Amino acid sequence: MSEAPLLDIVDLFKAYRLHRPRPFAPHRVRPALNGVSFSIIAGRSFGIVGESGSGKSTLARIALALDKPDAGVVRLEGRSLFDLGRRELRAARAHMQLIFQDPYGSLDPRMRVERIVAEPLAALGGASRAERRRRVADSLEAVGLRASDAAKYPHEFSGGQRQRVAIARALITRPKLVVADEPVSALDVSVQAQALNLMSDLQRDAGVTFLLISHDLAVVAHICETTAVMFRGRIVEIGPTAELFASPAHPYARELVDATPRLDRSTTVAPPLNATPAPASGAGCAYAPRCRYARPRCLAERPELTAVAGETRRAACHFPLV
Amino acid sequence: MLLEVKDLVVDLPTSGGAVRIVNDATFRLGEGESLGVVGESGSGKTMMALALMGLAPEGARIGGSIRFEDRELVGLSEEAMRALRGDRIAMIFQEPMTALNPLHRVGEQVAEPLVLHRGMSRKAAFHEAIRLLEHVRLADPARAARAYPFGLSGGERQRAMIAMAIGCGPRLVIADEPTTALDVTVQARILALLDGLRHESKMALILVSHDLAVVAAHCDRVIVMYGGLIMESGPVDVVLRDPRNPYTRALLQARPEPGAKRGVRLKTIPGSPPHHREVGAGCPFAARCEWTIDVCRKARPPEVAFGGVHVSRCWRAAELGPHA
Repeated sequence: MSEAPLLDIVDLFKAYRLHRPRPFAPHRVRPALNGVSFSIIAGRSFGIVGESGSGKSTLARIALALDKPDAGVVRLEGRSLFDLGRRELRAARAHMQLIFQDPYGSLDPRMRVERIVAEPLAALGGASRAERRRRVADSLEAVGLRASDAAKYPHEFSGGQRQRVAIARALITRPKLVVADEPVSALDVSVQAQALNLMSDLQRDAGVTFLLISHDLAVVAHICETTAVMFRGRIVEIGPTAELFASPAHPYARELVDATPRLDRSTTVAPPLNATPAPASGAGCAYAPRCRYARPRCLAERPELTAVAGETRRAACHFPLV
Repeated sequence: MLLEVKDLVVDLPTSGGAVRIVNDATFRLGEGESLGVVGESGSGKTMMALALMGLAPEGARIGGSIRFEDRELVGLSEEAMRALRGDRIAMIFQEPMTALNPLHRVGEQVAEPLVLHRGMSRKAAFHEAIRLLEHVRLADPARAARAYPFGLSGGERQRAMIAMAIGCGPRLVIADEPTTALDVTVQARILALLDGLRHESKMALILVSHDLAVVAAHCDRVIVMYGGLIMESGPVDVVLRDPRNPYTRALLQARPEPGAKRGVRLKTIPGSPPHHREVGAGCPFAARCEWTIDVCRKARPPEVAFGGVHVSRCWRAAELGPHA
């Protein structure tokens, strides 16, 4: 069993139906995921970066079985989530939890922290009162809060502490996988560091593996061993985080790295957009219209993910940069 | 000097009495210069920007002096302020979707200041708006002018906002977190656009941001604010290389850098930014600062100058040698 990846995602497709332009007209569809596959090994946190509309949040929802794909398979420790019965799916959910972006909106202001943190337990069929209390206390202490904080309401905490409460809630079922969608982007810089250090500790000490979704490369690089870069519903590059950010192979990954503000150099700015419209057929590379390295082949033929720069990295580009 | 701000104070009324949001802010800005204002939530940076625009909320009390083009703005009538706003001083907001009117075409809104301040006819102003939209490099300016705000992407809306701001050739543009809601690739292009506009027209820019790295790449000078006070100010490269204030230092060290080793411990600042009412007589950062001594809690720290242009507000600034 230790051979099976913690999470295995195979060839996911998902499209959302948009409003009809007029009654009885055919629905237009917007593809959100277009054949996404990757595996997460237990103990090796995985990052996904990309811009808005890249499909990264759709992927998070499907990975947690909160949404169904049009096609494709999600396996948690070898078991396909969408083939499970309701009760089995509930049990499987104990092993995976979600941390939301907004520590203000995701905690019910009328509930005491004890009830908020214990919520996932109830969904699993409940526990005795004493057991509940003990596990809430354990969970709060694991994130650096006090057991006595259980009696407080969310408004009594600062933003950073609230995000800790949200993390404590995610940890109470002792999940193996925690999906974190932009977990620190709503936090001030001075508070963000506390949350990132906590996530590092949980990886090391509590055996939590993160699937971390963020637009911020520095945050992903801080937590994740492997990273996938998504663009328009596809993975365009995947590999060890440090290598990928040091020398991106896909021109989009390069653009992301160059655009990230850093203190040690001024930001390199890509030239203005090419005016070339996207190929209507969807035949070529979706990034080609924006790509400064695009050649005719890029518009005609879609590149598949293939190995670049050794065994560990793959990029979907006909003319990779490394 | 284009802008001279001296001892600027902004007090906001609350149910528990007036609260000081901006506390004795003093700085100057020359023609064509760019100044970054960095701070976290509650630092007072946005309120300071709004006060410069004469847009502080109803009931706010503004003290001190704001001299713009040798004219005192504090106490100026709303009518006189309106004549300046959108003409000599313009502002770019974080979320163009809320700053633009959803019911009017983008081109009409970009044209509005031209009708108001330049007395152009609506038709001529609309044509000029298309030219401005082209100038901010919107892909299809004629289409964008006829579109409604929701028909544009976030980056396109922000470009439209910039077009509206620069229409009358302002001498000062204040941008409050202009790229925070945008993807990093779009952010880089918008900031490059602002750089370009500044260089070609010699307008001055105040860039308000929570991100030191954004300011580092696009500003000549920086002000770091905390709890309503300017904690440190000076040329960007000097302040980043040789910060003389514990808060600036902590901010620099708390930030994960791309390229750093995975899992490396970030320096944390205990606690979180203060609410305004929590700021007492002493240094607003005292409760979180590792350099705090008794006097920090009791009295407001003095301004200590390093080489004339670099100033830190800290009781122990002199002890904070180059990266001590």
